[in-house]
Amino acid sequence: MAFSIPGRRLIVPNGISIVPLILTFLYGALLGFTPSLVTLHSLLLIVSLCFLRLPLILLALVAAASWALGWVGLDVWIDALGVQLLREPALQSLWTEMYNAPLLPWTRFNNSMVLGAAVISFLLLPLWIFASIGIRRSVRA
Amino acid sequence: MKSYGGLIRWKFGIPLGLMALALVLYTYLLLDQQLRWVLQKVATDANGAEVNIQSLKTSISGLFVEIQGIQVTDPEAPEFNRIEFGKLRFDLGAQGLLRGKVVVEDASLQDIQIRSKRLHPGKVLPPPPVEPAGPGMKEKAMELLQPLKDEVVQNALGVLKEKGFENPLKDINWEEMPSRVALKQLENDWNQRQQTLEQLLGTLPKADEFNQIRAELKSIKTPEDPSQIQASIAHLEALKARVQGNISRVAAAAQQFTTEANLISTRIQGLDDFVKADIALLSQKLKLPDLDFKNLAEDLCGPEIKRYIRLFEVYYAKVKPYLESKEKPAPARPMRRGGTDFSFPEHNGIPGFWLKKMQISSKETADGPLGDMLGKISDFSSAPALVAQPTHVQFEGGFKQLAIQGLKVEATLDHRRPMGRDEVRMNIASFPIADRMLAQSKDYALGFYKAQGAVQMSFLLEGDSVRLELDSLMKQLSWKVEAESERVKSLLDSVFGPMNEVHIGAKAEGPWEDLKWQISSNLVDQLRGALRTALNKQIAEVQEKLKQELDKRLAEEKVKLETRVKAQIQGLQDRLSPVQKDADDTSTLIDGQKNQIQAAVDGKKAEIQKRIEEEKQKQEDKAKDQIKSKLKIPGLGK
Repeated sequence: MAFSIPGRRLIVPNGISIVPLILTFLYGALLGFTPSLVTLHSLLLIVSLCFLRLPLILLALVAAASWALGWVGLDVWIDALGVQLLREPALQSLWTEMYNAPLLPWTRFNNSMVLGAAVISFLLLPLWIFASIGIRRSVRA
Repeated sequence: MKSYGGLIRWKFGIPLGLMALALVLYTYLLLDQQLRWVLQKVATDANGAEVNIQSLKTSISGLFVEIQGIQVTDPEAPEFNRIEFGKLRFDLGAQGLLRGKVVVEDASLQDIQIRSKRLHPGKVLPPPPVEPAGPGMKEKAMELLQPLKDEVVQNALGVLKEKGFENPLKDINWEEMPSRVALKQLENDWNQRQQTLEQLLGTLPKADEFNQIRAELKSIKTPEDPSQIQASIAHLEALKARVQGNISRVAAAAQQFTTEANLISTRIQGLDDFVKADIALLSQKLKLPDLDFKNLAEDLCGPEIKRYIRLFEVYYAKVKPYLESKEKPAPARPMRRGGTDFSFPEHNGIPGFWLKKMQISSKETADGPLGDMLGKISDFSSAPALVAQPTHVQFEGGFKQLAIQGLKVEATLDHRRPMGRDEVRMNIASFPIADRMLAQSKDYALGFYKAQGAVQMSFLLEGDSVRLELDSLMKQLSWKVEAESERVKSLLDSVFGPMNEVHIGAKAEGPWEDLKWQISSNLVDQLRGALRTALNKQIAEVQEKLKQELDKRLAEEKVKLETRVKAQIQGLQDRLSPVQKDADDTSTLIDGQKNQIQAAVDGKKAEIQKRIEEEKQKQEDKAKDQIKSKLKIPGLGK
């Protein structure tokens, strides 16, 4: 079935390949799930949008949807995941290294929400891939 | 279909350049302003009143932050600053910044003023909501703030407020006095005893019984026949035994009457002892002070002590948790969770915040408002375990314009190990005190217009165990004594007028939640002594009045009861006497009858004996004659 809604071309441009779509979902999730944009990786993501050709409206929609999901209740799970990872004994040495390494502390990975949001964004990568393939097929059709 | 294009925008230079330009413009134009605004807001929230920063300058190349003109409003007097700093400069370390940490390699604090006048009164924030389960220290401190809650003192001053006690005999319910209760009890007891005695009286032999015995006695005649004598005597003995039994019962009853009479008389006399209990009860009801001023020291000196322990309250409530906790809740975002910030310090790592050293310097100028201050702070950090040395704070100086001299503070805050040890010593050789109230209520106010104070304080916190010693001296006192009643005012004037120095000593030991306080003060001793002297006379007068009234009332009741009891005892004895007389008379009659019979028996016995003797003589004479007739001896005649 063709993916046709008003303004579809503005949201998903014609001829877009699969990789930009996957990156769009990943960027949107990372920016949306993370409660604060004042982290090193968030700023780098935003700066990288200057030289990466991604559908910005779709990215904004994905980010807004992720933010809203966090607001309505996903934050509890994001926070719990972050806390569990940060308390995981096997990872303590990794966190300690990162915490005392240059620059990395600016990512605020030691905050349970920031870490949880990043991990969950990557855990959902298969979903982003499926969604991207689906959208790509719809646009072609 | 038109291709969307590759992933990389090769013409990204323009947006990137625009972004860089925006960043540079922001850094030069807005960053300092924004930081200043944020810092002002954070400091205002922490202080509870407006904090102003005149200017803030950051240098990315020089890695320093310089803040000028910091004014901290005094929440209790918003037209004044609590403290004002001329210049504060932090030189930051690059190594720390790269790791997202604030490491202050060197800092300086210059030009300190306290109690400086503000151009406009600072805004005071509403007090934070009271936490339901605060530290025990807070509650204790609040207790200390209550002005003279000691009921004894309140009573004492209440008594002295007027000319003395109002008519103490007014509104007394005499029926509930112990003596009155005892009297009622005595009356009830006596009523019961009286019934018992009546019953006892009822069981005693009646006149008929004695008449019957007497009739039986009359029927016993002196027998002519000796063989009946024994039977008559036995009959008499039986009657005697019956009468004797009755006599014993009557005697026992008489004895019981006497005992009861004596007992009730003793108890009536003993009612006087209850007057003491009456006076004690009335004293309590009239709220006569017992002159045991248990809480006076805490009540009177508590607010003064509170001023100093407040410093440590702030430290305990706000600073200590940050020094000890590894996980801290991050500030929440709008509509989103803030999460939790974890720390992963490594040995010899860098704390999140580390002030390596800070020089404090302030040099007073002639007629200038600045204080003369010199000191330093070293190794203050958010993770003390990572720092080799404990935090040292040391400064000394004075503020000549405010007449504060000899200020010296030394503190060592050691949280490198799980059991923290904080030690603070503070001395102020002289400081002015103005318009300080020690106690204030609707009846009176006690304080002073001005004084010179001095304080020495040491505070040690090891784990949760606190040891606090405070020695405060106030001299050159100008007392402020106000009271509705002239009497109270003159008393307080006489106590405090001659006092030139007030010394307050306080010691506290134990956990925060249950500090054991020991407070002493010459102020308390003087007030206690004066109140005692003034009240003793009043109390003695009232107690004497009460005693007289009680004696009078009791004496009347006693006489009434005594008269009634005597009359009733007499009545009982009057009823007992005829019975006793009957019994005695009957016994006498029996004895008489018995004697009579015995006399008759004795007479018969004597007669028979005489006849025997006579017959015996006859027989002898007859025998003699016969012998004479048979032996005719010559010369003797026939």
